[in-house]
Amino acid sequence: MRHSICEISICFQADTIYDFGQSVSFSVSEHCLLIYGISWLTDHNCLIFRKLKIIFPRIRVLACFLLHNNCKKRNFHADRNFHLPKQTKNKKPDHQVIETEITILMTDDKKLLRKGDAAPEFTAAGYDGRNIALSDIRKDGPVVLVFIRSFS
Amino acid sequence: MKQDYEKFVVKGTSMVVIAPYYLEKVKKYFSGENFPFHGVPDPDKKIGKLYRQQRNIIKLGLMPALFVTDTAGTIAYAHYSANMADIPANAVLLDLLSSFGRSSED
Repeated sequence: MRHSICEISICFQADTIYDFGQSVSFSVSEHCLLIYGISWLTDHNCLIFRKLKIIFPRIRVLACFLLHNNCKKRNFHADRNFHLPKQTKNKKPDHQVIETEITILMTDDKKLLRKGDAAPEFTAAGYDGRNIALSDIRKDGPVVLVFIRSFS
Repeated sequence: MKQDYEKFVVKGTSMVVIAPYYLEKVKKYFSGENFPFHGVPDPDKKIGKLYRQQRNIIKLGLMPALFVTDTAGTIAYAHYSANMADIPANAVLLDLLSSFGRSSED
């Protein structure tokens, strides 16, 4: 079941457990909900994420910390256990130097390809001009398809 | 994966890297690196869409994904990365590919 932006928005507005505190706002788009202005990830906020995860089990929560004081950018994948990063525990930082963005990505699991599904067939020209058809190369053995975001 | 390419090849595996770039950029990278994989430019993300590659609006781009298909064209392994560091270990893939060999010998 896919949870609509509307459902999540209603939850945020209707339930006090989603009270992130003052000066916190969020924006929504088709695929994600961005909560910004959270000055710090407190235990209370983590509790909110856990509850959110229970209500909307298919959402993925990503947190991105932008540390302005030293320009370091730190990401952690909050989806697995919502543990606070070590550095944040029991520590109250200066609100001026830290801005936290929480991204909640809504993934429709039903649309993702899974083990046992038929691999969609494609034919495409490779960088060397050779035509690559999945149906041809899989005759020789298993095929690993790697979809990259950038070269590294 | 580049480092373990020979291990993958021993298992009769073809590797296809699908990059969301135009031909010139993919050609430059693959030629310069003497890359042993098939490299496929996918500037309009047609193949990415076929495989439901996820998009992260905040990061302004597509998220990595990896699939292993068997010789019958069935997906034996699918992984959609939740972040840029979320990449399956080579050992996991090599184990899976070994299991193909075992099942064909049985």
